[in-house]
Amino acid sequence: MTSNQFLGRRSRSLGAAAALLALSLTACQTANDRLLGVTDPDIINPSDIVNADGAAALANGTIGTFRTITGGGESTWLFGGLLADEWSTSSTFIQNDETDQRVIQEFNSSITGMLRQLYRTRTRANEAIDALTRFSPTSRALIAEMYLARGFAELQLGSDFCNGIPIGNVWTPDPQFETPKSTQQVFQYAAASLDSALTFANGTDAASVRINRAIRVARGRVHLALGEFTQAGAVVANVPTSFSYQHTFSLNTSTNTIWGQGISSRRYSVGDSIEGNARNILVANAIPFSSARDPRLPVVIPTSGAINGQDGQTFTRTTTMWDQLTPVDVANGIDARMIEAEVALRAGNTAQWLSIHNALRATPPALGTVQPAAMPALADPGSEAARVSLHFREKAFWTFSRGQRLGDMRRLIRQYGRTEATVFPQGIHYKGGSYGKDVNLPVVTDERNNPNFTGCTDRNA
Amino acid sequence: MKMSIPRVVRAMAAALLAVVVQTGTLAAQERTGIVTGRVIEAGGGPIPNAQVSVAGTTLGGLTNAEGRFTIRGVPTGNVTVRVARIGYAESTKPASITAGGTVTLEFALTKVAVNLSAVVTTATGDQRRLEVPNQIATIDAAKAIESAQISNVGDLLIGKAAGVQLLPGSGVNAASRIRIRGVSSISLSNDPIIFVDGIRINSSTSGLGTGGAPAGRLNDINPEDIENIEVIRGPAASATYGTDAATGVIVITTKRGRQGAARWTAYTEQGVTRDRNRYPDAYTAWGRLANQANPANNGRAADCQINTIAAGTCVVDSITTFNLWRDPRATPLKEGVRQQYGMSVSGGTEAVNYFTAIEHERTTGTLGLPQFERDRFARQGITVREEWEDPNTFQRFSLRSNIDIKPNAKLVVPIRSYFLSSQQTQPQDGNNTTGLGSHAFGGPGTRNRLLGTDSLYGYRQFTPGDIFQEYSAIDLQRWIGSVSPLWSPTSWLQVRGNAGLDYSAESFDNICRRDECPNFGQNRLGFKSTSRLRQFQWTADWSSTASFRPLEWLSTRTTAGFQFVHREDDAYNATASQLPPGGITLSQGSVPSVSEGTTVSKTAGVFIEQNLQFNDRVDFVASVRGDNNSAFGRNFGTAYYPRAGLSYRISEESWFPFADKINQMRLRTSWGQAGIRPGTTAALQFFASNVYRENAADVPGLIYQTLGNANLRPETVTEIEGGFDLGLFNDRVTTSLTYYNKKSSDAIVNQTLAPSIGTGTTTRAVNIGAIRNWGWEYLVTARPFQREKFSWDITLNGSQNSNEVLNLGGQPAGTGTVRNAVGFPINSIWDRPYTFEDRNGNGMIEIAEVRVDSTPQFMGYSIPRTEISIQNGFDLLKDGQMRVTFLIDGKFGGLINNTTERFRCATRLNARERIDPSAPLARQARCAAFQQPGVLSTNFGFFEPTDYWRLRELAVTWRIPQSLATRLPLAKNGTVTLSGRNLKLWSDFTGVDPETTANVGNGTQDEFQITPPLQTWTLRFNFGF
Repeated sequence: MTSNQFLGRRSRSLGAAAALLALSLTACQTANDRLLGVTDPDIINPSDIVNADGAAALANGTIGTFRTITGGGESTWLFGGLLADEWSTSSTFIQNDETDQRVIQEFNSSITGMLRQLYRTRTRANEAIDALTRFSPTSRALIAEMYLARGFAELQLGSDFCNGIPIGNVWTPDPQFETPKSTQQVFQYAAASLDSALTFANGTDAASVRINRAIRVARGRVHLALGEFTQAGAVVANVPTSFSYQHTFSLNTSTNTIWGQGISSRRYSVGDSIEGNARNILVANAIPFSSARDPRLPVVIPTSGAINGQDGQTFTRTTTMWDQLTPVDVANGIDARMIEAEVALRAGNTAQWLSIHNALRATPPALGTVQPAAMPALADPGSEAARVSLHFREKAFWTFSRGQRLGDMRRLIRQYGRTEATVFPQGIHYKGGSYGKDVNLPVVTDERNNPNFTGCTDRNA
Repeated sequence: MKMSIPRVVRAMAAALLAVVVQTGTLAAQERTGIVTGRVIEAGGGPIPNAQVSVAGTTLGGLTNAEGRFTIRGVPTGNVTVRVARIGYAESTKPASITAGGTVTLEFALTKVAVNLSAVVTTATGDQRRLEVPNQIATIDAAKAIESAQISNVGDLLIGKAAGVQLLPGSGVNAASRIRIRGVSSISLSNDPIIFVDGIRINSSTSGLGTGGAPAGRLNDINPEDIENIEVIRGPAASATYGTDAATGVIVITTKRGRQGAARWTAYTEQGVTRDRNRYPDAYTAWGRLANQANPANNGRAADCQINTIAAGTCVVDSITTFNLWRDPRATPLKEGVRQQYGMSVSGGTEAVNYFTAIEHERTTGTLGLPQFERDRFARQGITVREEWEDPNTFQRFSLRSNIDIKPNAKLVVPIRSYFLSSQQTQPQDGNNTTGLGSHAFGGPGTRNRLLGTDSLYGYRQFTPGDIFQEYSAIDLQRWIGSVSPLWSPTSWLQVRGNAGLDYSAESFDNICRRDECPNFGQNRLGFKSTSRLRQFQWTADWSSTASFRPLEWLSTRTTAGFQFVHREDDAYNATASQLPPGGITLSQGSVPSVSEGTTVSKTAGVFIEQNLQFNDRVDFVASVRGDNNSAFGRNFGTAYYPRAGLSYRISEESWFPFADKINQMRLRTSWGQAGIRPGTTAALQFFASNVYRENAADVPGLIYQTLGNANLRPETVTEIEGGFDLGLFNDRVTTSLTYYNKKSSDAIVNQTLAPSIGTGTTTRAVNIGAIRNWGWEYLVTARPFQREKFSWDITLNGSQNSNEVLNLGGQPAGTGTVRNAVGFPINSIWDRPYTFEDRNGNGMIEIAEVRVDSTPQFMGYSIPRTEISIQNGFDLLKDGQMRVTFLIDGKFGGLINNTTERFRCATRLNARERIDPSAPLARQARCAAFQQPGVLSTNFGFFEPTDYWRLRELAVTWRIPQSLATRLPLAKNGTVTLSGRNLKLWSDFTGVDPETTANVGNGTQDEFQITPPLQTWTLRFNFGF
């Protein structure tokens, strides 16, 4: 074939080609849109939720997330307990071991997950507050609960993490990078959130009353963290001892993770002042949660069958305080009494301090699945230092693994003049090496993607 | 998501349309003749399946079993007819065609070691290899199966193509990891895409969540059905495949029928699978406490370790070792069985050709119930179920039917249908607390530790009887079908259509009956988990190729086409826990839960390619493809992938000076771009759901999940490659060398989001990275001896690959042991080095005698950089009646994480280096370095070179003499092959096997408590009827 032949043939067909092409391209544009359009049923678009139902769903999502920072996920309630003296590691995870050993690496992936959940609780609460305010402003108790969730996350951030926590109160769908704040500033954020919560939880209906009491307990804890003892006592004054604001579980949603990790999977063992399978390693400063045989914390030490923790080497110590679906108290009347007791102690009112403790010991409220037997009354140990030690020991048993012990140990250093060496576990660690010096959890490496963050500003209590 | 059609795409469509419109106008105007003839081996018999083509046209075909061919519609005038077949030198002959006349030609082809003159399949149709400006690897699958034990496509690929790195899976039917020219992407898949007979297929993995290696869907393709495999290595060659092709394309062509009488083939393969690996001994140092703070503890029995021995706090009485893998009562190992039965028939007429094959295969793995567990179950009155006896099994039934219908001389309609049904069971293994490896590698140096009253026989906590009670199985039904009409209305025009579907329905079951399985968590309350996964992959494409020879010295070939690929996965998962005794269904559990997931991706692309050939020796190609994809961000339109290449057969120049020695020399270079698409929902901002318990009811909620990225576009990889192909001494020696250099400047980085933002997802896909990847590939084939009763052929191929992260857009490098850091390779390995010294001279390295650097140091690549493969073949006896082949391959320059040994050191406390003071000091030191508390701990000593040589394949094939074969009922010919795979390993790796891994994704290679690749021996009988 020659080129001339080809060109001649092409010219004869050009008209037909052009006509067909024009027709095709018109159809093609529509076809293309249809061709590449996809529907993924897994995702819910922002446009689907701009109504009251959407606002309620966001609020539900926030409460679902809130659970993960308490007993519904492996949260700082557990890791804070590892760093403190509530739990000992019986896990294969280096993340758990280094936390228990108090030599935490900044990129600890477990802490990364916990920190993210705390921030997610804040972000989702902010979204829900925005949506409820716009589409369902009469849901005041629910709005109050959103502020509670946010404030509680902030309280836990300040209690458990180092100084230099990026935090802000602006919420937009686009990322906003915040500047690091000291823990005291974070507690101020918590205070503001909880004060806002109280302005919405002012109804007389049962939900409003319940939320109001939970907010007051959380606010009292924030007052303590800020050293505002008088205000702390005042804000919890009317919270009944029998009150509890709980996170509940079901087999279909999430189960109690303190039970799941600590008891079912045996990754955590109840802490003690004597460690090692041979019971030959003394841990200075640690409360003997296991060997104290305190009725508030029944401990089981299996002697046959599955005697080891998940690591296959550490003899395990579990507690029956929680079952798979046992609710956890996020805030309760015992917390209120502990706040009042500490306020009395700070005020030098030893009698009132002892009275509050002994009233609880005489008629102990239930703790998880446990209904403790009445305990003998405490006697005044005689010195201020001993009273402080006794108070925080009592509180440790009343609030075991509820996210308060680490914050209290830090307060012992910050507010009571003690040192890390006299508060935190010391000596040889049963998994090798010695305890380190960490007194808080680090804000993790991932946060360095925030251009304003360059690491903890300090790791002090 | 809506896309717009840009101007370039419209222009391409116009060009395409113009080509088609011309078809009708021109078709009737030609005057043509016929070329017919026969192709034989020089001095030998007919050559079937040889590709016969008329140069400068789209006309051609394959020879039948008698080596005969007929090409109709050949334009009048002088033409050149070419014949090519893998294993033979290309041959050409001139022919003068007259209108209505027939020209008969006879070709006698000369055998060569490996031929560079075959035809290759490209996105725009079949092309002569010599005209393609890239080195495309071709694997003759039919020939490979004759001379090696081939279980899956991975076995066909390993060691066969330079630059194609394959890490075989661990366990029966496990997925392989395939990397072509190393890794190119930080965040996206580095797997090549797979086409079978023109349609794209699903080659993902199916994980059972057992902790072991997942099953690979590429393994579903029966290697017995494959004619050949072509590997298109990089964007310089794969640009016309568009989005997703940047990591390479594997093109599989299945067998088809040839004109002639029905030819029946039957075969059976019977073999054994063995685990001949060296598993480590477990150590226990029996001793007594001493020098305790509390003197009352002194003298108590205790397990000593090097640290406590050195500190004097534990006094050793004796050290014992136990290796449960070798203990006859404790071992979970047994001999597995491989059985395969297959039959095929092929043949055809001028109107219809057919190939039909049926096969059944059953393989059992090397794990089984140890004797002590049988005894225990007998004592307890428990009946052992079949799945406990053989927890790792695979069986497959496949049926292929390939039909080529030829309604007339101008139209061929190939129809391909492949049905597969397979079942696979897999034990809990690998990175799994209740897996076999966790307990078999983790036990003490004695068989006598007890669990209750039963001996653990050296296992850590759970024993195989309980572990194998957890049943995990995949049941798969898959159909791949296509129709690919090829219309050649004239000698210069060819129109190809292609429509196909790859559909698979998988069912995953995971069951623990009540009171069975390891006593971990809630397992013994019973549970059943079932997933149903449907995967659809539709492919539709259409293209037209117009070939002309406008001038004596110029040939042109223009192709324009359209392609649409649609992938959709629908998964439904249901779990029920707390089963009643005997219960094994979802409805019998008291705690049900369900979930659903859908993934959809669509790609539409148009392309145009122009080939120009000058003086039959210089080929120039240029093409561009435009793609839209449903995963692109809404602010991004069309992705363009241009390509250009040049091939120059310099040896065909009259002035070429070394023609007596160099019979063939080709220089080639090409440049091109291809893409990798982002995740299907990575561009979108959306909410997800969560559910929580509020008092007595479960409440649904919504959570802010992703930020999305409206500007997200595909990762575009630009590659330039160049090289040469040489044929020496009449192709007795051939060699090929290629250099390539790839770069992407819009690489997708999963930018870690600061936790304080509070999003659900922790990362966001952003086009901010830049990556470079470069390397060399070489291939040498030679036939040093060629005599009547002995000939020797050798193939050497190898490659060297490097890559470097050039830019991460400011993203921190990370602090883990696997990092992406600017100036270093993708997924490079980092950790803090250490030094050690036995300062107190006690012959032990204590924790305090190890000094760990504070700064992590770059250690190396996470995958091997260098590969070498040497295949030898010996033809023995008259006419090569016996053939012996063996393949040795090696991989070098990567690091593997010996996590098994690290765990044995750090948490299992049974590694020699943790327990035995006589262990080599360097081994004690790496264990002590890892025991450093907190931040001082380093994994440095457990990252080891993957370097190894392996005797991969050995086979002896005996062609049964005709006189003997015909004595068998119906048989005309036959072969017997004895072959072995994974026969010998040479490596300094201190773990079990440097090829072990459960990770076939982007991560590092990690030997962690998992069964390594197995050794297989098979005897194969093959008969033709």
